[in-house]
Amino acid sequence: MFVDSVLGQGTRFTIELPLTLMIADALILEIGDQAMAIPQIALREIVPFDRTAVTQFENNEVLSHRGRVVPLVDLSVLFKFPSRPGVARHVLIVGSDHHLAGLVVDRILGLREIVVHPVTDPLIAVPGVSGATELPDGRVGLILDAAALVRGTRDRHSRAALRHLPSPPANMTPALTSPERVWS
Amino acid sequence: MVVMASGNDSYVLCELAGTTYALRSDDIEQLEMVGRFTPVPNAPAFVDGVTSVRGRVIPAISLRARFGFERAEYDLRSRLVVVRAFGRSVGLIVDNAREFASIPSNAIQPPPEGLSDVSGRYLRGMAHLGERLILILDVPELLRGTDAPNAASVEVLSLPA
Repeated sequence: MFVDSVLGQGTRFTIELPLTLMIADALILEIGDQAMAIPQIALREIVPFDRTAVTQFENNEVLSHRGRVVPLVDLSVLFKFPSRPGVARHVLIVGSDHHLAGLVVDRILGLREIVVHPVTDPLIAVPGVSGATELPDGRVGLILDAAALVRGTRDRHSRAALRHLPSPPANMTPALTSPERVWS
Repeated sequence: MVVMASGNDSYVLCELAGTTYALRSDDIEQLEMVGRFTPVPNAPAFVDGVTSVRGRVIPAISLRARFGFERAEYDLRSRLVVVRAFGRSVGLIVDNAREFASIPSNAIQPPPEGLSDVSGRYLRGMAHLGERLILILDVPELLRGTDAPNAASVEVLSLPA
């Protein structure tokens, strides 16, 4: 903040806001017992998670949605925050027209404005998380990095397809049980 | 609770699994009660999560886990010691932090030879305070040694498919 005074004329107060302090509209959701946020701008659509609309093939789960095939990422598996049994789950459709992905989450808590804090320390700069914010209850909530999660599914698919061509793997693991795969 | 002491000889004494450690006051930003931490998926095992300290989001490290001790439940005496080095701020969770001490540099003995490599690097030395043996930690080295997590998590993330 700068103060610039001219005698007899007035004073100019200049306040410079740090660029790192950003406010964004975000959807607050739950994965397991953790509240997280995803920027609203990244969201295309939210649909209820319907097991019967999910197809499994090889290591992947895909959702048939509006005539398109959308690969799914179960965030409770990826982040190892186990879902509460019986909770109604949702799929957040994210990504671009060329590449969609569905993020499977638990409860949707609502929309709100959040202050985005950068997460820069190497200890906590993990894939799939772009920042953090303070939630109304005083706890810190992590902000999902939708673009990175979409990239994860895309890379996984292209590699899975490549792997599949010469010889299918003998022991296939169930879809989405190995989070490593998403970024491996 | 804010620590305002400074000076080369000024240390904050913390306890961890029955041993007293000293951290240089100059490396410490503040001491906080231990609150709730938000777990960070796929972070190193010794990272208990993130917490907000004065509007910044910083990692909280279980120093017990980092040093290979068993974790303990947090209680009213547990403290988050926020340290700073290389422009980073990191919270270290210790069993308690109740004392200040002035330890002149000529009272500090170098760590004995034969300690394993890892301990040797962030252990700056040892000093006697009365009957007690105090281990003096080198905060920058501790954070540098703790830096590997990214490498570690990359490893975790690139397990052979």
